[in-house]
Amino acid sequence: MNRRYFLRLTGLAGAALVALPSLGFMSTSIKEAAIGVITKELHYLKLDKKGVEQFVDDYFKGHYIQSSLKTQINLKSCYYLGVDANESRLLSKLVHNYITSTDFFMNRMDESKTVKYIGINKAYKMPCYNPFSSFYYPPKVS
Amino acid sequence: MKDTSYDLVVIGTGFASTFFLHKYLSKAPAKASVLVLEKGHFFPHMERVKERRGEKTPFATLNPDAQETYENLTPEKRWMFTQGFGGSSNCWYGCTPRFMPSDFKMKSLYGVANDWPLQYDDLDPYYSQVEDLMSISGPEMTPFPKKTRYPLPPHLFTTVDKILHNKYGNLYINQPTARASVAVNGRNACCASAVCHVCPVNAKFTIENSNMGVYEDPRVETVYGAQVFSLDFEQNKVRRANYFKDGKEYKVAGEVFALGTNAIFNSNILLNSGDTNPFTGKGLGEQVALEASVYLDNLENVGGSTWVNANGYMLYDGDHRKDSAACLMESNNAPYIRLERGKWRHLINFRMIFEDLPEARNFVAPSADRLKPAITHKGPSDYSMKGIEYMKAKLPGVLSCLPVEKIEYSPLIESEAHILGTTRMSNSAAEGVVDKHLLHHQYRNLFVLGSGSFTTFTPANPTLTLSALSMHAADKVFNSIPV
Repeated sequence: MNRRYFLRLTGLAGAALVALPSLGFMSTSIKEAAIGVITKELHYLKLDKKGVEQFVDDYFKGHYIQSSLKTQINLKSCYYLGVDANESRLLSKLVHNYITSTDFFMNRMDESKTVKYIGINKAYKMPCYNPFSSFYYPPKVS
Repeated sequence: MKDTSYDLVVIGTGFASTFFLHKYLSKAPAKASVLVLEKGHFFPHMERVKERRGEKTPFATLNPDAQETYENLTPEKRWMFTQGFGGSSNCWYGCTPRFMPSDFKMKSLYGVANDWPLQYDDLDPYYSQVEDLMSISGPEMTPFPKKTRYPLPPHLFTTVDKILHNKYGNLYINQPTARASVAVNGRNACCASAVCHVCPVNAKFTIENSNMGVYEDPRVETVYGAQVFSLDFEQNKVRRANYFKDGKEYKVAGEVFALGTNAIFNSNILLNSGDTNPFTGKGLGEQVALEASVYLDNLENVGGSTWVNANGYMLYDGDHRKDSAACLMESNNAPYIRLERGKWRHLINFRMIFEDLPEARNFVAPSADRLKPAITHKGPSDYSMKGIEYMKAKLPGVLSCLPVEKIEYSPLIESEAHILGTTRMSNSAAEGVVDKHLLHHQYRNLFVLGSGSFTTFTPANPTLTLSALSMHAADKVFNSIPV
């Protein structure tokens, strides 16, 4: 391999290293980024994949991210950079909303069970849904 | 409207008016005539629930949004209330602690602001009557003296509440609340849905579900869509109320009048009418609050049965009140979590609520539109701010019986949805607007009801007390006013 060929090859490789992730960044949808954030953050749980997708669809309906390019870039950047959810208000709200929209807490945080999405805005569709209340943790009778 | 003159004209249908009417009707003759003028319309609870579910309801547009009804000259602070039949009973959260005896003696005990012209013992029997009518759930032991038992058993503590109750006894109690602990009087039991403004299971007391029989009483005529904007004063008496309905102006005469709108609109009506008491409209305020999130080391906080399970009084009374505000703690039981594996519910959130004082810089004034009061609120008192600093210094010690990892404080919460102090109660017109029976110092056939009458702004929630004050006032109608 002569020197000129080597330089050309490494130059192309360098450009690809920059361009391809950028293309990926651009082509990744906010839905994919959101699903990625949730699955990464909760990697130790068995998540129902279709449920995660449905949650993201429901969560983003009418969400300000739909009209905020800045927030979209923020979400994708956090996803690509692997930011911890507790370090970002956007991410923590997303993951918080997801996990409280599942049956995880109703199942008393049992990590061996598949976590299923049961819906957002539950208070009026599922009254009495408060998985930490005495209905789920009844007082012990002595 | 059937008549042009009534024995009693009441303006508004919220807590203040309804409890006043209940007592009045229990003593009034069978031929008494009562007119109730309600600015808004009836929006039934079930329709409110439908609206919350995202379903359409024709009732949703009957009443204006509260924020559209006043001119806010300091928009960083909004005032929360609900328009329509039943007033703010349609959005309150049902917290009903009594005031402490010391709350009525702020000047004599702590040298702060003024004493109320009536004392705890004067209100005690009326507190009990309101607690019965609202079917309040509450504990056996309370930090305030109480001669009667609560009608319903208390809600359940969480695991963390139990530890604090064991440590502090009657300074940490199950919250007295109008969120029923068992089904009662047509209401369901609260199941901790944590969206009490419109309870999904109708467990919270409202005027609509009260079964008090006030608006069904044949002596009472209720006119909806009638907004009173002024009163006609003659020879130190109110002779007529002036109101708009369907774009037209009307007048109605009466022997006795009771203003039972909120503290913003009561004072606006008085000011529109030419009331020259220097305190009318002045001293608008409410409590100040923030959230304290307490992270716990390996202690799970579960098991409560309502939205606010407990009240803590450990930072309420004491010598510190000479300099800094009392603080009432609310143990919150919404389904909050911390986002950490295995520690999801190793957390307790408290709402820390601080008393405030009426400040001249916070006031209601008439605007160019008679129907729309203008509000200026330049902030809470230094006394409240010092209370926050005092709390932050003391809270770690108060919670030393818990395995606390850290405490995080939120910024100040915008509103406690209470509106206090524009027609303050006093012994004389030199110090306030109404006397201890809520009768205007100058216009002796005019009751000015509600929490606008509060002399000072204790941290405890106002509804129980303003309702008891209404009953106390109505009990005196036939003694105080020749009708």
